Amino acid sequence: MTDHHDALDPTERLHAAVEELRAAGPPHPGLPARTAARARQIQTRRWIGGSSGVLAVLTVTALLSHQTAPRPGEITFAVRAPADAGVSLVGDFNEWETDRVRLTPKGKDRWEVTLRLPPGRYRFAYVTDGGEWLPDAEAAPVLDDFGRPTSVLTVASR
Amino acid sequence: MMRPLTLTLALGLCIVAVPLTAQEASSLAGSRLRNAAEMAAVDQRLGSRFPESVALRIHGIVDSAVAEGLPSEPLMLRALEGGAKGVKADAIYVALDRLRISMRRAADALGYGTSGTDLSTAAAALQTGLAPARLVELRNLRGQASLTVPLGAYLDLTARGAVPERAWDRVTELARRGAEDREYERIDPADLVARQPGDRR
Repeated sequence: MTDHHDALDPTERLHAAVEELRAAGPPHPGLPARTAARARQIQTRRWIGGSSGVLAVLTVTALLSHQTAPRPGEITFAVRAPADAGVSLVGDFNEWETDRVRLTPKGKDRWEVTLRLPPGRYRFAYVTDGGEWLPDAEAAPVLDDFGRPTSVLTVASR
Repeated sequence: MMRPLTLTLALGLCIVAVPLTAQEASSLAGSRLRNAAEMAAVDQRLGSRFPESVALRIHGIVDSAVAEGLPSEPLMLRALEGGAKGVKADAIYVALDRLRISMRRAADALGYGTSGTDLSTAAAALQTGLAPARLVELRNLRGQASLTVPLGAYLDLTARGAVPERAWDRVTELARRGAEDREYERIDPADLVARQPGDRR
């Protein structure tokens, strides 16, 4: 990353980083496409929030480590909760069943899971094994029809 | 002189009317079968999540909606959401009625053949105060393409504090030039927060 990126917003920095790496020539066939997919994925969920530096580093890390990029339509859901909380993802996509999609602990207090969803608009929330309902920190803040904070996600066609 | 002509006309009418009537009957039967299958699935899901009396009441609301030509799935999902969250039954009934009324308004604007996802997203937009005429405007701009992404973008932008009028202008600007769905995701709400002279409430 070069310093001029600091003047850009997180999305612009991300795209600039990808463009720079692409301009340098692909070390492996198909790498630019996988990188772009990864970048779009990260941009869509934005679970890293305002930490643009971390976002850019993640993109570069994905490039260098040649990780398998999420396929189009895959969404990574992530939430901060204690390591022993046990977290499920519930929403329109799994008929609000609390035991169907479990998140995996990643690090000290982060949980995540990746799902492939068809285009659409979905209400969802996280629920801990202790029964605490948590909204997604990065989704637009909305109340559900019952007056509680919830999360809504729109999945665009790719 | 007139009798053969009258007979010919009557026969002609029969030839046209009988197949039409048969088609309508067939279409109606197909629609009823689809509705029956839909309602059977509704029964199964409700029965496993709610006490019988609550399931029956919800079933009645969903059944009424289907009879109006509205999709059952958005209502089912809302009921299941309420059930999962342990919401009182009365609050679920109120939420379902509210959604049904909003979907009906959306369907009046967009047509009753509109997909469930489009209709429920349009209903959410109407609940925030968007005028039904705006839905028609977007439908005209998008043609046959789904309205879920642009309407979802509008809802997310306003939830993040964008001025509704400015958010709508940005969304329709993209629709007008046939933007891809992912372009709607890139709209920055920060650009649309401050009111400007001429913004309507």
